[in-house]
Amino acid sequence: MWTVTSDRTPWPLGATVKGSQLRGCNIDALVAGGHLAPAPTAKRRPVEPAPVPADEPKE
Amino acid sequence: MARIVLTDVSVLINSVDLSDHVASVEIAQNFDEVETTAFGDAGRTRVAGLEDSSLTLSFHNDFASSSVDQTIAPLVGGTASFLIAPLGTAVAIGPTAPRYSGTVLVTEWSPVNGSVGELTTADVTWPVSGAIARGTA
Repeated sequence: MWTVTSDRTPWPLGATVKGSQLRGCNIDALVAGGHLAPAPTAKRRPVEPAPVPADEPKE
Repeated sequence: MARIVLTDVSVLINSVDLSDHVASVEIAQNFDEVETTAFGDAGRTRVAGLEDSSLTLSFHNDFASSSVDQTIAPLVGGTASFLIAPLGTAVAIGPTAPRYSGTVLVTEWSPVNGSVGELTTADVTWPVSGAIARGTA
């Protein structure tokens, strides 16, 4: 996924485009030319370990 | 009879619209000439061989962000797609508004070219890799 960073491409500035939409394009050159940037990916929150149940008090 | 005056040609290189920095464009579509003359023919006969076309552009160079030099420089030595719309991309593609597309080999680039007081231009002729497609729909 790529974010459009210039107003010279067929896609609107700020749009997110998929690799399939860029078929035939030299993506490295578009990035180097300031037309595309890798789209930020959503970070997953680390899974917190389940709390260990406290031992029941012995009578 | 109508004539065409070029005023708003769209020039896209690697899907980047550089039309506002292009002053001239020429698509030269050529084919090798393959002779097929044989005994009994009254004159030489020929068929078209492989396509050997080229794209010639005259750029007004610009080092600004995302402009001409930043777009073309990374392509030098490699291939790039092109799209030429003689009547502009704002005009719907159709039989009376064709568009030409293909892939060029970016064999040359002139980042600096000019004399004192002149506009810096980059006049390039890039060979087409493969065939040129003429789209009408």
